[in-house]
Amino acid sequence: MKKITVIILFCLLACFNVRSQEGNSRVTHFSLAIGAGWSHYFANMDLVPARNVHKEFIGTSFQFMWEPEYRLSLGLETGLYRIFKVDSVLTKEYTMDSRMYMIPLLLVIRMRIVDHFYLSVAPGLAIQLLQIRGIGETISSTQYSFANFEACASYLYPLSKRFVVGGEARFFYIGATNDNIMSLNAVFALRL
Amino acid sequence: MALLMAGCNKSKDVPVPSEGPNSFLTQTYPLPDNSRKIMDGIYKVTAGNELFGDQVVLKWSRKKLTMMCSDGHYSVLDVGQLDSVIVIQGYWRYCYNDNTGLLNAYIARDEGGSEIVNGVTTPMIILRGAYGKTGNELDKALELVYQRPISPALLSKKFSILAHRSGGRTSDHLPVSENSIAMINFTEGLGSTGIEVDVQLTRDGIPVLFHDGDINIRLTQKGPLSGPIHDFTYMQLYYLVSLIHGEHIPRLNDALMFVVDSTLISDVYLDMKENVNSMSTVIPIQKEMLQRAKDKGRDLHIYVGLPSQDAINDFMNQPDYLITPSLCELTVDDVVRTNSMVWAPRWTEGTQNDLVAQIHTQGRIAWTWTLDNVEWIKEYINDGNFNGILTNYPFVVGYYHYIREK
Repeated sequence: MKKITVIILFCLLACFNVRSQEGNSRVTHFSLAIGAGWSHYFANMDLVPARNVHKEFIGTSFQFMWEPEYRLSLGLETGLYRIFKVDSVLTKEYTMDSRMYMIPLLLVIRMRIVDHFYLSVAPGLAIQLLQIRGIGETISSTQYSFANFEACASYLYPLSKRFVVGGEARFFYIGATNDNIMSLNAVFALRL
Repeated sequence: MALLMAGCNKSKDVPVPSEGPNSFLTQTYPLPDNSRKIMDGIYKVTAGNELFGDQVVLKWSRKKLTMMCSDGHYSVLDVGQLDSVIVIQGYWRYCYNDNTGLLNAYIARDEGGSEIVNGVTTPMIILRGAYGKTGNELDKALELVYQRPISPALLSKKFSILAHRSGGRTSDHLPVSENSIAMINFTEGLGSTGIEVDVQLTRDGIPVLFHDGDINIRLTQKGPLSGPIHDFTYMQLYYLVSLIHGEHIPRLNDALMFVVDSTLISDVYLDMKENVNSMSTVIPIQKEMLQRAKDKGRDLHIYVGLPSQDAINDFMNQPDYLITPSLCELTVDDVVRTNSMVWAPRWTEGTQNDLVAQIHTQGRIAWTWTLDNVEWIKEYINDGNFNGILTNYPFVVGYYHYIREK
């Protein structure tokens, strides 16, 4: 009897949910967004004096979003960020600099909080590209970080049915190297 | 997500309790070698049982006295003498967590101190003192009573206590970094008689000691360099990477030279992380250091590890492979094929007494790796016939080995 009651309740809830969708005239759509702006690296190196670490750079982001529901949307995000550039004075004769870039590959879960204002979280991968110039040849090295996390707050204002502009503030944590960056981007989005 | 981020951070450092620079020990004189040997033995714990159990082993290494307990507690102790009183200071640790504290003790003149200082064997040694469980307190009584020496029959047969990653893992909160020269200097104080080191090649073909494939924050301080170790030259690693306690990543050559010149370590197992094209670089260094040890009268064995078929193929492509000391981790047939001196199966394959006996009849020896659990260590020492055990906890292996009668 208990099982039957649960099944009936479940069916009723499912019906109500379906009906609530019927009245919704909103059309599921996709969007492409591109962002660019300032990024800042939170320097946390034990080995290098802070004065040798360059922290401010230009970063870019690209998002492809699927917006099937009223508030929630899902998507994929990538981009290109320079995390840091470090000037190292090794000896009187030698200097060396290293530059770290990062390409994130993230699954974005975004929620509209109030009109035009969104919060999102995004776990995923990051490809880290390191370039070293100095003693000997220039060396490029690639490594993968599997435990990364991004939090982002966005303000997106629709100019028309197809075009959206706005700004976003994001924080990114890279697990493999324990690096953190934040960025403030201007965003332009196209609804498909 | 917060848990994930917190979990990725480095765990805390465990301090080494110390009396500091004003220690009374600085006013004492070192014990001569013949005095040290008298202190080696099995001791009954008459006070301090709650931490150290009912019985401990005291064993001198090159410069430290190690107290080995049955459950993973151990002490690393400095010893001096003044007016026939033996003064002992150091710290105790528990290997399975970060519990630690000070330990101070003495042997009174009429309780064995005079005999030890004069190099005279005595059946009565009583070590009295105190230890603490928090900070630098010394609020618990300690008393050890000498029971018997370590069995001469046992000491006459070589048994290798091999310490992992040059002496101990960074993850065990030791005060020095794994695969560093500082760790090689430290490890004898933990009771080890041999070491295993992890060998990789840099971009410019220099063998260095490092365990992981990548430069990472688990093993190194946060710096401007990260990624696969073979992507970088030795100079780049030297200048841009520091191990977790500040040491440089050592070259194999420098590490082995330290072993030969500055330690009493008798076995070195080169765990080759590169499976191909590294033997031609590593074997000449091995030969040079074996010759250096021979010239100094050291009984040192350095074995090239063969962990895979690729490594065996690389090894067998070397002209002198049949006379190159090696350690094979694969089958007994592979041991014969490569003429390896040591067979080293992983411990999970069991004691394998039949195969070990077969190896012994061929004039070879057998080690097993990497054994850390107290119960398994006890079982492998009591029921197995291995000639050595690779472990992260050499003091546990030492305890169960030295308490044997033969």
